[in-house]
Amino acid sequence: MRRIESGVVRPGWEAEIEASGLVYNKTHLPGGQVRSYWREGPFYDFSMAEVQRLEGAVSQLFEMCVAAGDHVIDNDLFDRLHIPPMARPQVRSTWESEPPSIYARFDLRYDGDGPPKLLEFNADTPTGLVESAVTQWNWHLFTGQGSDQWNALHDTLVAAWQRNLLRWERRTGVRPRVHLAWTSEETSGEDRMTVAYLMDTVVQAGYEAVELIVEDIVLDDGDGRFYDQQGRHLDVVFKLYPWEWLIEDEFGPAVLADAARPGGTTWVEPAYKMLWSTKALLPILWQLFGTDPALGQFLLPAYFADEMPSSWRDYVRKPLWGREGANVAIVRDGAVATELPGRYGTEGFVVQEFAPLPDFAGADGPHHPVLGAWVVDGEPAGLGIRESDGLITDNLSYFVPHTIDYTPPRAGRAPGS
Amino acid sequence: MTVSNRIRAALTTTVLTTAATGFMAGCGVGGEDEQVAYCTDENGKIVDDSYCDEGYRGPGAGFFFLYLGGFGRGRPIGTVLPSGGTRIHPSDTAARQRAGLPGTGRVSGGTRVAGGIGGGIGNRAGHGAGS
Repeated sequence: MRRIESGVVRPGWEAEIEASGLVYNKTHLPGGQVRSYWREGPFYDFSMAEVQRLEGAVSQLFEMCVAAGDHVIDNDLFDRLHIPPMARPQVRSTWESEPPSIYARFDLRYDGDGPPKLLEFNADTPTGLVESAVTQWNWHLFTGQGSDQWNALHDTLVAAWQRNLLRWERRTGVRPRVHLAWTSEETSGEDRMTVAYLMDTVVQAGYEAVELIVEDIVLDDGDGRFYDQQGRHLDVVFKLYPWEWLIEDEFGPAVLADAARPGGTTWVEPAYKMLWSTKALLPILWQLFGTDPALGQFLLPAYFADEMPSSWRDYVRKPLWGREGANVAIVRDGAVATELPGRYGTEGFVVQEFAPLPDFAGADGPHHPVLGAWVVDGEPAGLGIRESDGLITDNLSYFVPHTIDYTPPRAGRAPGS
Repeated sequence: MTVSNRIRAALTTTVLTTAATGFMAGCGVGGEDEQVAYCTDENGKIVDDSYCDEGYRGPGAGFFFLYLGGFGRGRPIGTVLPSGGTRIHPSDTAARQRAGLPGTGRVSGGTRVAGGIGGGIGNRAGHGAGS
Protein backbone atom coordinates (compact mmCIF):
# COMPACT_ATOMS: atom_id res chain seq x y z
CA MET A 1 0.00 0.00 0.00
CA ARG A 2 1.36 3.38 -0.95
CA ARG A 3 0.13 6.87 -1.66
CA ILE A 4 0.89 8.27 -5.09
CA GLU A 5 0.99 12.02 -4.81
CA SER A 6 1.06 13.20 -8.37
CA GLY A 7 -1.40 11.24 -10.43
CA VAL A 8 -3.32 12.46 -13.46
CA VAL A 9 -5.45 15.56 -12.98
CA ARG A 10 -8.35 15.41 -15.43
CA PRO A 11 -9.29 18.67 -17.12
CA GLY A 12 -12.73 19.72 -15.90
CA TRP A 13 -12.74 17.04 -13.22
CA GLU A 14 -14.76 19.09 -10.77
CA ALA A 15 -17.69 19.54 -13.15
CA GLU A 16 -17.42 15.89 -14.20
CA ILE A 17 -17.64 14.47 -10.70
CA GLU A 18 -20.55 16.73 -9.81
CA ALA A 19 -22.45 15.86 -12.98
CA SER A 20 -21.93 12.16 -12.38
CA GLY A 21 -23.37 12.33 -8.86
CA LEU A 22 -20.87 13.78 -6.41
CA VAL A 23 -22.89 16.99 -5.97
CA TYR A 24 -21.75 17.22 -2.35
CA ASN A 25 -18.11 17.59 -3.33
CA LYS A 26 -17.80 21.17 -2.15
CA THR A 27 -17.23 21.05 1.58
CA HIS A 28 -18.00 24.19 3.53
CA LEU A 29 -15.52 24.54 6.35
CA PRO A 30 -16.41 26.13 9.67
CA GLY A 31 -14.30 29.20 8.79
CA GLY A 32 -16.36 29.81 5.64
CA GLN A 33 -13.85 28.37 3.19
CA VAL A 34 -14.93 25.86 0.56
CA ARG A 35 -12.79 22.92 -0.43
CA SER A 36 -13.09 19.78 -2.51
CA TYR A 37 -14.00 16.56 -0.70
CA TRP A 38 -12.70 14.53 -3.66
CA ARG A 39 -8.92 14.49 -4.08
CA GLU A 40 -7.98 14.71 -7.75
CA GLY A 41 -4.38 13.73 -8.40
CA PRO A 42 -3.31 11.72 -5.36
CA PHE A 43 -4.41 8.12 -4.97
CA TYR A 44 -3.60 4.99 -3.04
CA ASP A 45 -2.21 1.92 -4.74
CA PHE A 46 -2.37 -1.68 -3.52
CA SER A 47 -0.88 -4.90 -4.76
CA MET A 48 -3.37 -7.59 -5.74
CA ALA A 49 -2.01 -9.69 -2.87
CA GLU A 50 -2.91 -6.92 -0.42
CA VAL A 51 -6.41 -6.65 -1.84
CA GLN A 52 -6.83 -10.41 -1.51
CA ARG A 53 -5.71 -10.24 2.12
CA LEU A 54 -8.15 -7.42 2.74
CA GLU A 55 -10.96 -9.37 1.09
CA GLY A 56 -10.20 -12.37 3.25
CA ALA A 57 -10.21 -10.24 6.38
CA VAL A 58 -13.55 -8.66 5.42
CA SER A 59 -15.12 -12.09 4.90
CA GLN A 60 -13.91 -13.22 8.29
CA LEU A 61 -15.01 -10.02 10.00
CA PHE A 62 -18.47 -10.48 8.54
CA GLU A 63 -18.62 -14.05 9.84
CA MET A 64 -17.54 -12.81 13.26
CA CYS A 65 -20.32 -10.23 13.22
CA VAL A 66 -22.85 -12.96 12.45
CA ALA A 67 -21.56 -14.92 15.43
CA ALA A 68 -21.71 -11.78 17.60
CA GLY A 69 -25.34 -11.28 16.57
CA ASP A 70 -26.17 -14.84 17.56
CA HIS A 71 -24.40 -14.27 20.86
CA VAL A 72 -26.42 -11.13 21.66
CA ILE A 73 -29.71 -12.79 20.81
CA ASP A 74 -29.01 -16.10 22.54
CA ASN A 75 -27.86 -14.33 25.70
CA ASP A 76 -30.44 -11.54 25.59
CA LEU A 77 -27.84 -8.76 25.78
CA PHE A 78 -30.19 -6.09 24.41
CA ASP A 79 -29.95 -3.97 27.57
CA ARG A 80 -26.20 -3.80 27.16
CA LEU A 81 -26.66 -2.59 23.56
CA HIS A 82 -29.32 -0.06 24.58
CA ILE A 83 -31.81 -1.51 22.11
CA PRO A 84 -35.23 -0.61 23.54
CA PRO A 85 -37.60 -3.44 24.49
CA MET A 86 -40.19 -2.53 21.87
CA ALA A 87 -37.66 -3.08 19.06
CA ARG A 88 -36.38 -6.43 20.26
CA PRO A 89 -39.06 -8.70 18.77
CA GLN A 90 -38.41 -7.15 15.32
CA VAL A 91 -34.65 -7.50 15.75
CA ARG A 92 -35.09 -11.16 16.66
CA SER A 93 -37.55 -11.96 13.90
CA THR A 94 -35.52 -10.28 11.15
CA TRP A 95 -32.39 -12.03 12.40
CA GLU A 96 -34.24 -15.32 11.96
CA SER A 97 -36.01 -14.69 8.66
CA GLU A 98 -33.23 -12.75 6.89
CA PRO A 99 -35.32 -10.25 4.92
CA PRO A 100 -33.55 -8.23 2.22
CA SER A 101 -30.26 -6.73 3.32
CA ILE A 102 -28.13 -5.04 0.72
CA TYR A 103 -24.98 -3.43 2.01
CA ALA A 104 -22.71 -2.33 4.83
CA ARG A 105 -19.22 -0.88 5.29
CA PHE A 106 -16.38 -1.88 7.58
CA ASP A 107 -13.98 0.89 8.53
CA LEU A 108 -10.49 -0.53 8.79
CA ARG A 109 -7.11 0.63 9.96
CA TYR A 110 -4.54 -0.68 7.50
CA ASP A 111 -1.00 0.28 6.57
CA GLY A 112 -0.04 -2.49 4.17
CA ASP A 113 2.15 -4.26 6.71
CA GLY A 114 0.19 -5.84 9.52
CA PRO A 115 -3.36 -7.23 9.29
CA PRO A 116 -6.25 -4.78 8.84
CA LYS A 117 -7.95 -3.88 12.13
CA LEU A 118 -11.65 -3.20 12.51
CA LEU A 119 -12.40 0.33 13.69
CA GLU A 120 -16.17 0.08 13.33
CA PHE A 121 -18.99 -1.38 11.28
CA ASN A 122 -21.39 0.96 9.49
CA ALA A 123 -24.08 -1.60 8.96
CA ASP A 124 -27.34 0.31 8.82
CA THR A 125 -27.01 3.51 6.77
CA PRO A 126 -23.55 3.66 5.24
CA THR A 127 -22.80 6.52 2.86
CA GLY A 128 -19.73 7.21 0.77
CA LEU A 129 -21.30 4.88 -1.78
CA VAL A 130 -21.54 7.20 -4.78
CA GLU A 131 -17.87 8.17 -4.60
CA SER A 132 -16.82 4.55 -4.06
CA ALA A 133 -19.01 2.92 -6.69
CA VAL A 134 -19.29 5.61 -9.36
CA THR A 135 -16.85 8.52 -8.99
CA GLN A 136 -13.69 6.50 -8.45
CA TRP A 137 -14.70 3.91 -11.06
CA ASN A 138 -15.08 6.67 -13.66
CA TRP A 139 -11.75 8.11 -12.51
CA HIS A 140 -10.04 4.73 -12.90
CA LEU A 141 -11.48 4.22 -16.39
CA PHE A 142 -10.67 7.73 -17.56
CA THR A 143 -7.15 8.07 -16.18
CA GLY A 144 -6.15 4.49 -16.98
CA GLN A 145 -4.10 4.42 -13.80
CA GLY A 146 -3.71 1.03 -12.17
CA SER A 147 -4.36 -2.33 -13.76
CA ASP A 148 -7.55 -2.66 -11.71
CA GLN A 149 -9.53 -1.28 -8.79
CA TRP A 150 -11.17 -3.16 -5.90
CA ASN A 151 -14.63 -2.18 -6.99
CA ALA A 152 -17.33 -4.70 -7.85
CA LEU A 153 -19.92 -2.53 -6.12
CA HIS A 154 -22.18 -1.91 -9.08
CA ASP A 155 -22.41 -5.51 -10.23
CA THR A 156 -22.87 -6.86 -6.73
CA LEU A 157 -25.52 -4.29 -5.79
CA VAL A 158 -27.59 -5.20 -8.85
CA ALA A 159 -27.17 -8.89 -8.04
CA ALA A 160 -28.05 -8.27 -4.38
CA TRP A 161 -31.36 -6.64 -5.29
CA GLN A 162 -32.12 -9.42 -7.74
CA ARG A 163 -31.50 -12.18 -5.24
CA ASN A 164 -33.22 -10.52 -2.30
CA LEU A 165 -36.24 -9.22 -4.17
CA LEU A 166 -36.82 -12.51 -5.98
CA ARG A 167 -36.80 -14.26 -2.63
CA TRP A 168 -39.23 -11.68 -1.25
CA GLU A 169 -41.43 -12.13 -4.30
CA ARG A 170 -41.52 -15.91 -3.94
CA ARG A 171 -42.38 -15.65 -0.27
CA THR A 172 -45.22 -13.15 -0.68
CA GLY A 173 -46.49 -13.86 -4.18
CA VAL A 174 -46.28 -10.12 -4.87
CA ARG A 175 -43.84 -8.45 -7.22
CA PRO A 176 -42.48 -5.67 -5.02
CA ARG A 177 -42.16 -2.04 -5.87
CA VAL A 178 -39.12 -0.62 -4.07
CA HIS A 179 -39.34 2.80 -2.45
CA LEU A 180 -36.04 4.41 -1.53
CA ALA A 181 -36.24 7.08 1.13
CA TRP A 182 -33.95 9.85 2.29
CA THR A 183 -34.50 12.55 4.86
CA SER A 184 -34.95 16.12 3.71
CA GLU A 185 -33.05 17.11 6.86
CA GLU A 186 -29.88 16.18 4.98
CA THR A 187 -29.26 19.12 2.67
CA SER A 188 -25.82 18.46 1.17
CA GLY A 189 -27.26 16.14 -1.48
CA GLU A 190 -25.29 13.14 -0.22
CA ASP A 191 -28.27 11.14 1.00
CA ARG A 192 -30.35 12.03 -2.03
CA MET A 193 -27.59 10.97 -4.45
CA THR A 194 -27.01 7.75 -2.51
CA VAL A 195 -30.68 6.94 -2.92
CA ALA A 196 -30.66 7.95 -6.60
CA TYR A 197 -27.71 5.66 -7.26
CA LEU A 198 -29.33 2.78 -5.43
CA MET A 199 -32.44 3.40 -7.53
CA ASP A 200 -30.30 2.76 -10.61
CA THR A 201 -29.22 -0.57 -9.16
CA VAL A 202 -32.83 -1.52 -8.32
CA VAL A 203 -33.97 -0.65 -11.86
CA GLN A 204 -31.12 -2.64 -13.37
CA ALA A 205 -32.14 -5.56 -11.19
CA GLY A 206 -35.49 -5.45 -12.98
CA TYR A 207 -37.70 -3.83 -10.36
CA GLU A 208 -39.59 -0.56 -10.11
CA ALA A 209 -37.85 2.06 -7.95
CA VAL A 210 -39.65 5.03 -6.44
CA GLU A 211 -37.93 7.91 -4.69
CA LEU A 212 -39.43 8.98 -1.40
CA ILE A 213 -38.74 11.48 1.35
CA VAL A 214 -38.84 9.96 4.81
CA GLU A 215 -40.95 12.88 6.00
CA ASP A 216 -43.52 12.13 3.27
CA ILE A 217 -44.22 8.57 4.39
CA VAL A 218 -47.91 8.24 5.20
CA LEU A 219 -49.29 6.05 7.96
CA ASP A 220 -52.91 5.10 7.35
CA ASP A 221 -54.67 5.39 10.71
CA GLY A 222 -57.27 2.89 9.53
CA ASP A 223 -55.21 -0.11 8.48
CA GLY A 224 -51.96 0.81 10.22
CA ARG A 225 -50.03 0.37 6.98
CA PHE A 226 -47.54 2.67 5.25
CA TYR A 227 -48.06 4.44 1.92
CA ASP A 228 -46.41 7.07 -0.23
CA GLN A 229 -48.12 10.34 -1.04
CA GLN A 230 -49.71 8.84 -4.14
CA GLY A 231 -51.36 6.18 -2.01
CA ARG A 232 -49.13 3.32 -3.11
CA HIS A 233 -48.37 0.77 -0.42
CA LEU A 234 -44.75 0.57 0.70
CA ASP A 235 -43.85 -3.04 -0.03
CA VAL A 236 -40.11 -2.74 0.35
CA VAL A 237 -38.48 0.48 1.55
CA PHE A 238 -34.81 1.19 1.48
CA LYS A 239 -34.41 3.83 4.19
CA LEU A 240 -31.33 5.98 4.50
CA TYR A 241 -32.46 6.68 8.02
CA PRO A 242 -30.99 4.92 11.05
CA TRP A 243 -33.11 2.45 12.95
CA GLU A 244 -32.37 4.12 16.26
CA TRP A 245 -33.91 7.34 14.89
CA LEU A 246 -36.85 5.49 13.35
CA ILE A 247 -37.86 3.81 16.58
CA GLU A 248 -37.46 7.02 18.57
CA ASP A 249 -39.87 8.71 16.18
CA GLU A 250 -43.58 8.91 16.91
CA PHE A 251 -43.95 6.59 13.89
CA GLY A 252 -41.67 4.08 15.62
CA PRO A 253 -44.25 1.84 17.31
CA ALA A 254 -46.37 1.76 14.13
CA VAL A 255 -43.32 0.81 12.02
CA LEU A 256 -42.55 -2.08 14.32
CA ALA A 257 -46.18 -3.21 14.60
CA ASP A 258 -46.75 -3.09 10.85
CA ALA A 259 -43.48 -4.86 10.07
CA ALA A 260 -44.51 -7.70 12.37
CA ARG A 261 -47.79 -8.32 10.49
CA PRO A 262 -48.05 -10.43 7.34
CA GLY A 263 -48.04 -8.10 4.35
CA GLY A 264 -46.41 -5.34 6.36
CA THR A 265 -43.69 -3.10 4.96
CA THR A 266 -40.23 -4.64 4.65
CA TRP A 267 -37.57 -2.15 5.72
CA VAL A 268 -34.08 -2.30 4.23
CA GLU A 269 -31.68 -2.49 5.97
CA PRO A 270 -33.50 -4.79 8.42
CA ALA A 271 -34.00 -4.05 12.11
CA TYR A 272 -31.30 -6.55 13.10
CA LYS A 273 -28.72 -4.09 11.76
CA MET A 274 -29.06 -2.37 15.13
CA LEU A 275 -27.02 -5.26 16.52
CA TRP A 276 -24.12 -4.22 14.32
CA SER A 277 -24.40 -0.48 13.90
CA THR A 278 -23.92 0.14 17.60
CA LYS A 279 -20.32 0.44 18.80
CA ALA A 280 -21.29 -2.14 21.44
CA LEU A 281 -20.45 -4.63 18.71
CA LEU A 282 -16.76 -3.88 19.26
CA PRO A 283 -16.41 -5.15 22.87
CA ILE A 284 -18.62 -8.12 22.03
CA LEU A 285 -16.38 -9.10 19.12
CA TRP A 286 -13.32 -8.70 21.31
CA GLN A 287 -14.86 -10.79 24.07
CA LEU A 288 -15.71 -13.57 21.60
CA PHE A 289 -12.64 -13.54 19.36
CA GLY A 290 -9.94 -11.42 21.00
CA THR A 291 -7.86 -14.43 21.99
CA ASP A 292 -8.42 -16.36 18.76
CA PRO A 293 -5.03 -16.47 17.01
CA ALA A 294 -6.50 -16.28 13.51
CA LEU A 295 -9.45 -13.95 14.06
CA GLY A 296 -8.23 -11.78 16.93
CA GLN A 297 -5.62 -10.20 14.64
CA PHE A 298 -8.38 -8.25 12.85
CA LEU A 299 -9.66 -6.69 16.08
CA LEU A 300 -8.49 -4.01 18.45
CA PRO A 301 -9.04 -4.68 22.15
CA ALA A 302 -12.35 -3.07 23.15
CA TYR A 303 -14.54 -2.93 26.24
CA PHE A 304 -17.70 -1.35 27.48
CA ALA A 305 -16.53 1.79 29.27
CA ASP A 306 -17.55 0.46 32.67
CA GLU A 307 -15.49 -2.69 32.14
CA MET A 308 -12.32 -1.00 30.95
CA PRO A 309 -9.13 -2.50 32.46
CA SER A 310 -7.89 -0.16 35.18
CA SER A 311 -4.43 -0.16 33.59
CA TRP A 312 -5.66 1.48 30.35
CA ARG A 313 -4.23 4.98 29.85
CA ASP A 314 -4.40 5.39 26.04
CA TYR A 315 -7.61 4.60 24.26
CA VAL A 316 -10.41 5.90 22.07
CA ARG A 317 -13.82 6.46 23.59
CA LYS A 318 -16.82 6.15 21.28
CA PRO A 319 -20.51 6.68 22.03
CA LEU A 320 -22.69 3.63 21.36
CA TRP A 321 -24.75 5.32 18.66
CA GLY A 322 -22.43 8.06 17.38
CA ARG A 323 -22.03 9.05 13.73
CA GLU A 324 -19.26 10.66 11.69
CA GLY A 325 -16.87 10.85 14.60
CA ALA A 326 -19.26 12.84 16.81
CA ASN A 327 -18.32 12.67 20.51
CA VAL A 328 -15.34 10.44 19.78
CA ALA A 329 -12.46 11.21 22.15
CA ILE A 330 -8.83 10.17 22.07
CA VAL A 331 -7.53 9.68 25.60
CA ARG A 332 -3.77 9.82 26.12
CA ASP A 333 -2.16 9.10 29.46
CA GLY A 334 -5.58 9.07 31.12
CA ALA A 335 -6.66 12.51 29.88
CA VAL A 336 -8.77 13.52 26.89
CA ALA A 337 -6.34 14.70 24.21
CA THR A 338 -8.77 15.26 21.35
CA GLU A 339 -12.54 15.21 21.31
CA LEU A 340 -15.08 15.96 18.63
CA PRO A 341 -18.31 17.69 19.61
CA GLY A 342 -21.71 16.11 19.21
CA ARG A 343 -24.95 15.13 20.81
CA TYR A 344 -24.22 11.49 21.54
CA GLY A 345 -23.00 9.69 24.61
CA THR A 346 -25.89 9.68 27.06
CA GLU A 347 -26.56 6.11 25.86
CA GLY A 348 -23.13 4.99 27.03
CA PHE A 349 -19.63 4.53 25.63
CA VAL A 350 -17.24 1.84 24.55
CA VAL A 351 -13.47 2.14 24.68
CA GLN A 352 -11.10 0.78 22.07
CA GLU A 353 -7.33 0.51 22.16
CA PHE A 354 -5.72 3.58 20.62
CA ALA A 355 -4.14 2.47 17.35
CA PRO A 356 -3.07 5.66 15.57
CA LEU A 357 -3.96 5.68 11.89
CA PRO A 358 -0.91 5.30 9.66
CA ASP A 359 0.46 8.49 8.13
CA PHE A 360 1.11 8.51 4.39
CA ALA A 361 2.60 11.98 4.56
CA GLY A 362 2.96 14.11 1.45
CA ALA A 363 4.43 17.48 0.63
CA ASP A 364 1.22 19.02 1.94
CA GLY A 365 1.39 17.36 5.34
CA PRO A 366 0.08 14.24 7.05
CA HIS A 367 -2.56 11.95 5.51
CA HIS A 368 -4.30 9.44 7.72
CA PRO A 369 -6.40 7.03 5.66
CA VAL A 370 -9.29 4.89 6.83
CA LEU A 371 -10.26 2.06 4.50
CA GLY A 372 -13.98 1.66 3.99
CA ALA A 373 -14.43 -1.95 2.89
CA TRP A 374 -17.85 -2.59 1.40
CA VAL A 375 -19.88 -5.69 2.00
CA VAL A 376 -22.74 -6.33 -0.42
CA ASP A 377 -25.18 -9.15 0.31
CA GLY A 378 -22.72 -10.51 2.85
CA GLU A 379 -19.70 -10.60 0.53
CA PRO A 380 -16.69 -8.26 0.19
CA ALA A 381 -17.42 -5.93 -2.74
CA GLY A 382 -15.06 -2.99 -2.90
CA LEU A 383 -13.14 -0.21 -1.26
CA GLY A 384 -13.48 3.52 -0.60
CA ILE A 385 -10.77 5.47 1.21
CA ARG A 386 -11.20 8.62 3.24
CA GLU A 387 -8.22 10.43 4.66
CA SER A 388 -7.93 13.15 7.26
CA ASP A 389 -5.22 15.49 8.40
CA GLY A 390 -5.98 14.50 11.99
CA LEU A 391 -6.47 11.13 13.66
CA ILE A 392 -10.27 11.16 13.85
CA THR A 393 -12.01 10.63 10.52
CA ASP A 394 -14.93 13.05 10.56
CA ASN A 395 -17.26 14.66 8.07
CA LEU A 396 -14.43 16.99 6.94
CA SER A 397 -12.28 14.18 5.58
CA TYR A 398 -11.29 13.72 1.92
CA PHE A 399 -12.17 10.89 -0.42
CA VAL A 400 -9.13 9.51 -2.23
CA PRO A 401 -9.46 6.97 -5.07
CA HIS A 402 -7.33 3.86 -5.32
CA THR A 403 -5.83 1.46 -7.82
CA ILE A 404 -4.36 -2.03 -7.90
CA ASP A 405 -0.87 -2.63 -9.31
CA TYR A 406 -0.16 0.85 -10.60
CA THR A 407 2.86 1.22 -12.85
CA PRO A 408 4.23 4.74 -13.23
CA PRO A 409 3.96 5.98 -16.85
CA ARG A 410 7.71 6.15 -17.53
CA ALA A 411 8.13 2.45 -16.82
CA GLY A 412 5.34 1.67 -19.28
CA ARG A 413 1.87 0.39 -18.57
CA ALA A 414 1.46 -3.16 -17.30
CA PRO A 415 0.32 -5.46 -20.10
CA GLY A 416 -3.19 -6.84 -20.11
CA SER A 417 -4.62 -3.94 -18.12
CA MET B 1 -9.26 -13.27 -9.26
CA THR B 2 -11.98 -10.74 -10.05
CA VAL B 3 -12.28 -7.82 -7.69
CA SER B 4 -14.02 -5.35 -9.98
CA ASN B 5 -17.10 -4.89 -12.14
CA ARG B 6 -17.29 -7.32 -15.02
CA ILE B 7 -17.68 -4.70 -17.72
CA ARG B 8 -14.88 -2.15 -17.77
CA ALA B 9 -17.01 0.71 -18.98
CA ALA B 10 -18.81 3.69 -17.55
CA LEU B 11 -21.78 2.61 -15.47
CA THR B 12 -25.33 3.28 -16.56
CA THR B 13 -26.57 5.59 -13.84
CA THR B 14 -29.47 7.43 -15.40
CA VAL B 15 -31.33 8.12 -12.18
CA LEU B 16 -28.20 9.37 -10.46
CA THR B 17 -27.05 11.68 -13.25
CA THR B 18 -30.54 13.10 -13.68
CA ALA B 19 -30.77 13.73 -9.94
CA ALA B 20 -27.31 15.29 -9.96
CA THR B 21 -28.18 17.61 -12.84
CA GLY B 22 -31.34 18.71 -11.09
CA PHE B 23 -29.50 19.19 -7.84
CA MET B 24 -26.70 21.24 -9.36
CA ALA B 25 -29.21 23.36 -11.22
CA GLY B 26 -31.19 23.96 -8.05
CA CYS B 27 -28.18 24.77 -5.95
CA GLY B 28 -26.04 26.45 -8.56
CA VAL B 29 -24.11 29.65 -8.69
CA GLY B 30 -26.94 31.82 -7.45
CA GLY B 31 -27.17 30.15 -4.09
CA GLU B 32 -29.60 27.92 -2.35
CA ASP B 33 -32.99 27.62 -3.96
CA GLU B 34 -32.78 31.06 -5.49
CA GLN B 35 -35.40 31.36 -8.21
CA VAL B 36 -34.16 32.80 -11.46
CA ALA B 37 -35.62 33.39 -14.92
CA TYR B 38 -34.21 32.63 -18.37
CA CYS B 39 -35.60 33.07 -21.84
CA THR B 40 -35.87 29.61 -23.38
CA ASP B 41 -37.35 27.89 -26.37
CA GLU B 42 -40.08 25.30 -25.97
CA ASN B 43 -37.47 22.64 -25.12
CA GLY B 44 -36.08 24.60 -22.20
CA LYS B 45 -32.94 25.67 -24.10
CA ILE B 46 -31.69 29.11 -23.16
CA VAL B 47 -31.89 31.62 -26.04
CA ASP B 48 -31.06 35.28 -26.40
CA ASP B 49 -33.09 37.56 -24.11
CA SER B 50 -34.50 39.44 -27.08
CA TYR B 51 -36.76 36.51 -28.00
CA CYS B 52 -38.67 37.03 -24.75
CA ASP B 53 -39.39 40.71 -25.31
CA GLU B 54 -43.17 40.72 -25.64
CA GLY B 55 -42.75 42.84 -28.75
CA TYR B 56 -40.73 40.16 -30.58
CA ARG B 57 -42.38 39.21 -33.89
CA GLY B 58 -39.56 37.34 -35.63
CA PRO B 59 -39.20 33.63 -36.48
CA GLY B 60 -40.53 31.31 -33.79
CA ALA B 61 -42.51 34.08 -32.11
CA GLY B 62 -44.94 32.56 -29.62
CA PHE B 63 -42.66 29.61 -28.87
CA PHE B 64 -40.33 31.36 -26.46
CA PHE B 65 -40.94 31.47 -22.75
CA LEU B 66 -39.66 33.01 -19.57
CA TYR B 67 -38.68 29.91 -17.65
CA LEU B 68 -38.43 30.15 -13.87
CA GLY B 69 -36.76 27.84 -11.39
CA GLY B 70 -33.80 27.30 -9.11
CA PHE B 71 -31.38 26.96 -12.02
CA GLY B 72 -28.58 29.13 -10.70
CA ARG B 73 -27.29 32.32 -12.29
CA GLY B 74 -24.87 32.68 -15.14
CA ARG B 75 -26.01 29.81 -17.37
CA PRO B 76 -24.96 30.41 -20.98
CA ILE B 77 -27.15 30.48 -24.08
CA GLY B 78 -27.67 26.96 -25.35
CA THR B 79 -27.94 25.37 -21.92
CA VAL B 80 -30.94 23.06 -21.65
CA LEU B 81 -32.58 23.66 -18.31
CA PRO B 82 -34.13 20.74 -16.40
CA SER B 83 -37.86 20.19 -16.40
CA GLY B 84 -39.94 21.12 -13.42
CA GLY B 85 -39.71 24.90 -13.74
CA THR B 86 -42.52 27.37 -14.41
CA ARG B 87 -43.19 28.70 -17.91
CA ILE B 88 -44.54 32.17 -18.42
CA HIS B 89 -45.53 33.54 -21.81
CA PRO B 90 -43.60 36.78 -22.35
CA SER B 91 -46.76 38.73 -23.12
CA ASP B 92 -48.58 37.55 -19.97
CA THR B 93 -48.05 40.74 -17.99
CA ALA B 94 -50.02 39.60 -14.96
CA ALA B 95 -48.08 36.31 -14.65
CA ARG B 96 -44.80 38.14 -15.06
CA GLN B 97 -45.67 40.50 -12.28
CA ARG B 98 -46.86 37.70 -10.01
CA ALA B 99 -43.45 36.12 -10.49
CA GLY B 100 -41.72 39.33 -9.51
CA LEU B 101 -40.54 40.16 -13.04
CA PRO B 102 -41.09 43.42 -14.86
CA GLY B 103 -44.48 43.35 -16.57
CA THR B 104 -43.02 44.14 -19.97
CA GLY B 105 -39.73 44.23 -21.84
CA ARG B 106 -36.70 41.99 -21.83
CA VAL B 107 -35.58 39.98 -18.86
CA SER B 108 -31.86 39.39 -18.56
CA GLY B 109 -30.98 35.71 -18.35
CA GLY B 110 -30.47 34.64 -14.74
CA THR B 111 -32.56 37.48 -13.34
CA ARG B 112 -33.50 36.73 -9.80
CA VAL B 113 -37.20 36.21 -9.27
CA ALA B 114 -38.99 37.56 -6.19
CA GLY B 115 -39.96 35.00 -3.57
CA GLY B 116 -43.34 33.45 -3.01
CA ILE B 117 -43.51 31.18 -6.01
CA GLY B 118 -41.53 28.27 -4.62
CA GLY B 119 -44.64 26.10 -4.46
CA GLY B 120 -45.10 26.35 -8.16
CA ILE B 121 -41.56 25.42 -9.09
CA GLY B 122 -41.25 21.74 -9.72
CA ASN B 123 -41.44 19.44 -6.80
CA ARG B 124 -39.11 17.91 -4.32
CA ALA B 125 -38.00 15.25 -6.78
CA GLY B 126 -36.31 17.91 -8.86
CA HIS B 127 -34.50 19.73 -6.10
CA GLY B 128 -31.90 19.07 -3.46
CA ALA B 129 -33.24 18.17 -0.07
CA GLY B 130 -34.31 21.29 1.74
CA SER B 131 -31.75 23.39 -0.03
